[in-house]
Amino acid sequence: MIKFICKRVLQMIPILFAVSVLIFCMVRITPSDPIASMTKGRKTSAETRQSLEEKYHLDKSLPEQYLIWITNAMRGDLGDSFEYKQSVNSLIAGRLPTTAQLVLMSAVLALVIAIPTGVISAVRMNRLTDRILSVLTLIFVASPVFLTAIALMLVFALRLKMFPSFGSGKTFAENLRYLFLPSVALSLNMVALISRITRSNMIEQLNSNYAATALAKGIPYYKVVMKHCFKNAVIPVITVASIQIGTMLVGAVLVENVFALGGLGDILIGGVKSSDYPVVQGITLMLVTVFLLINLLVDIVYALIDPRIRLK
Amino acid sequence: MKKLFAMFLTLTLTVSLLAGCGGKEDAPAGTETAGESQTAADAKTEGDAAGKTAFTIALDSDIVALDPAFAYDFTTNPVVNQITQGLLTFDENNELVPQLASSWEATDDTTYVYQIRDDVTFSDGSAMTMDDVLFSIERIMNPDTASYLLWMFDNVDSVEQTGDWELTIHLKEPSASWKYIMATTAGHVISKAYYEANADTFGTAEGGLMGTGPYVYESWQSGQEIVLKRNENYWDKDQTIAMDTLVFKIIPEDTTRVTALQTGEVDFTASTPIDLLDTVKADENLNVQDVQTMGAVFLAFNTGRAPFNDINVRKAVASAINLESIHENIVKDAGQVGGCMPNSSILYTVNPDEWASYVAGADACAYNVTEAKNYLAQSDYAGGFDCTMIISEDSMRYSMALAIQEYLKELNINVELVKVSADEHTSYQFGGVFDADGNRDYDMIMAGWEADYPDVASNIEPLFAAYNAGEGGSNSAVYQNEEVDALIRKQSASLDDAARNQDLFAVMDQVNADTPYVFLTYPNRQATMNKAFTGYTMSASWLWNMFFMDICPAE
Repeated sequence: MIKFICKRVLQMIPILFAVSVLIFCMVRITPSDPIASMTKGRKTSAETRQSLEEKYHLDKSLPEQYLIWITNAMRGDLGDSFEYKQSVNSLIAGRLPTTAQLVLMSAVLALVIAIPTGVISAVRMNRLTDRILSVLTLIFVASPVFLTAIALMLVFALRLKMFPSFGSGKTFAENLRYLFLPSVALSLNMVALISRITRSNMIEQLNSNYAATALAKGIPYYKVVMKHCFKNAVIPVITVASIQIGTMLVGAVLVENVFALGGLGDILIGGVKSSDYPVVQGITLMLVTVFLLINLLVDIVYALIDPRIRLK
Repeated sequence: MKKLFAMFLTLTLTVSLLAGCGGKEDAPAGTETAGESQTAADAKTEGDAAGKTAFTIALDSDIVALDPAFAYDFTTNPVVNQITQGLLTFDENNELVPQLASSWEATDDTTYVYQIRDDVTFSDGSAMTMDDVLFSIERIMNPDTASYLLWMFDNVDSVEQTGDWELTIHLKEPSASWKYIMATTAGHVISKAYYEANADTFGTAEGGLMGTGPYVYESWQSGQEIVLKRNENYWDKDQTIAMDTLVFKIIPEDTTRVTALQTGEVDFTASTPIDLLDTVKADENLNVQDVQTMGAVFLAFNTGRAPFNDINVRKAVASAINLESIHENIVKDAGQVGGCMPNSSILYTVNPDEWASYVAGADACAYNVTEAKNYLAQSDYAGGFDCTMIISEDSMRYSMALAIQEYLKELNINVELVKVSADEHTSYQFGGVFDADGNRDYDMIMAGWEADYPDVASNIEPLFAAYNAGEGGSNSAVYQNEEVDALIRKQSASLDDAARNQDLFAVMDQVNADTPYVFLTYPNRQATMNKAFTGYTMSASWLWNMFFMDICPAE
């Protein structure tokens, strides 16, 4: 197990290297001037310009700039933001908790809603309950995150005043309230997808020979459903869910913007717009790392659930 | 079942592990943020105005730094202005008044003498000394600081202490605009001792800053909020500061900002979205104040290359645009109809009547389709042509561009709208993108300019002077006219405001004859405040003078 994890972590290095080169080049493609962006196009003296260029190594050649960035990044220093006069590390430290909790809450919410929904739909296949749930999930999957977020805010914050309309709290517990609407908005797409997959997998398992055998042997129906079929059906669900968490990071950007959560997404988009290279590079690199780690975790979880899958 | 249990165990473990990480990350952030703001904000949603001790302001983006040296935008300034103060300031009529200086005078064309107050204290109770004043100015003048305000000191020869409480600034050459500088963040005083003790972290959430202002830095949670507390040691004992706490909330999304105003979670914003103005105005708890700005939104013709190097083409386009209709249908309350000047009447600070009569009699292109067709017929492009217009993502400007595109179809001019992101737009506007011949790479660009100080030349000089046409320059029309340049230089070196007016009239005569720009609209801003509060009126120079110390709960 340890050997497997070590191997996987080592494999991440070339991937991260390739990604770092790619991001470094991509942020520099647009014809923009970071100095003009920093000073928002206002008057700048030649001295200010030169001093800023030196400070952020913009006077050096691109390979040199890359080397400076990547060597510092390997030491855990992602450099200083152009726009905000502070380090990317402190920006990430201040904003990561919110984004992490938002994605987690959404994922948990999505699984808690979607898996039972999927199982019920499968058991009641093609009956009224299934039909209603199908229509609902269809609506969920079709509604854009941005719109859902605004609709939820207008109804539950402005009209019903049940939740705060924006912002996040200081502690994990406080955030359960602050991040509730945002995580509902973010989870809906995933709810739809996961419940569809659970449903189709469950149907397949319920129609299988072993399920028929089990029933024929007199094992109660609920036991067959829950103990035998569900366990087999849940593996593909985990695969999809883990990929969906990556997608959620993208959706989180929109939700964070609507609910003014001040998370990573907000600053990443801002960074792209204002050519804040260190912020875009640093956050993307961090997100890719997290994504790879989630994949690793999922592989480990597979092995725990299904002994047929060996960690090699 | 055991396996299933194992799976749930892993899941909960993962969740708690990640949550644990979050919690740990949260801790250092928590040390720099006081929990109080939250309780204050929470109390606000329930309590009525009388019990409120906090005033909450919505900003549309995060601040850049807690440092006057980098305070040069509409979100950083309103925060920093509460904490540090300048030697001078602008009052609500945009007039210069002393603040940390007790008086000031120009003893000759190039010498300015400031008498500094001897009774000012920083928020920690320590006295402000001449050392602090000199240190603050020299810090911004030091190129290593890379201050955004360094250019304001380009004309400064020396800064020196000439008496116990006397500061003398010598200029290299006379300047009509120098007098304003000490009222901007470039003239703000920070505590030298505090800076030296926190040199590495100064201006960040951790280090903060210390000044003489009515509020003291408490916390800054990146992307979320900045909290300021009342300065209990405020030096001006005549000033009562009603609110204990100022909370700045960062809310980028327009709908959310308006919702927060409606629910009472936010009390004030200076950036009311124009698309939602009707919603805000309909809310009985909110007051909307229209504020004239010192800016203009314009269409700049690239006079450096064909087809807009042809004066008749420029005049044809300028005459084809119906600004009245654009305002009636698109701009509405967001601006006043543009005219021959690069600014609204707000900048006519000296002899405003003279300006009014000049503008009334000015010979500029007005909407007239027949005239437009005549101009085009006289040009080399009588049959029309294809061209591009660079525009930003702003929805109102896009609608205006679409209208202009329609008007120009009348002349058989096909305009391709090129929508670019904010930073690309900045790059185009300030001469960062060039074609193969070294010209700016656009035919037309729709952009805006807002004056730095309430001086009538502060839009004329950046937009029309040829020395601003190059790389990084604000003359987006690449307008070059030696006579105009000479007049601009002459008036900017003059301290005789009446004579300056005459020079500027001559400049505008030339500019209007050459038509390098069409001034589309003079934008307004809408400041919205909850009716539970009173005591604040925004003025056009609010970039430098947005002060919340007079805010108090309404009776």
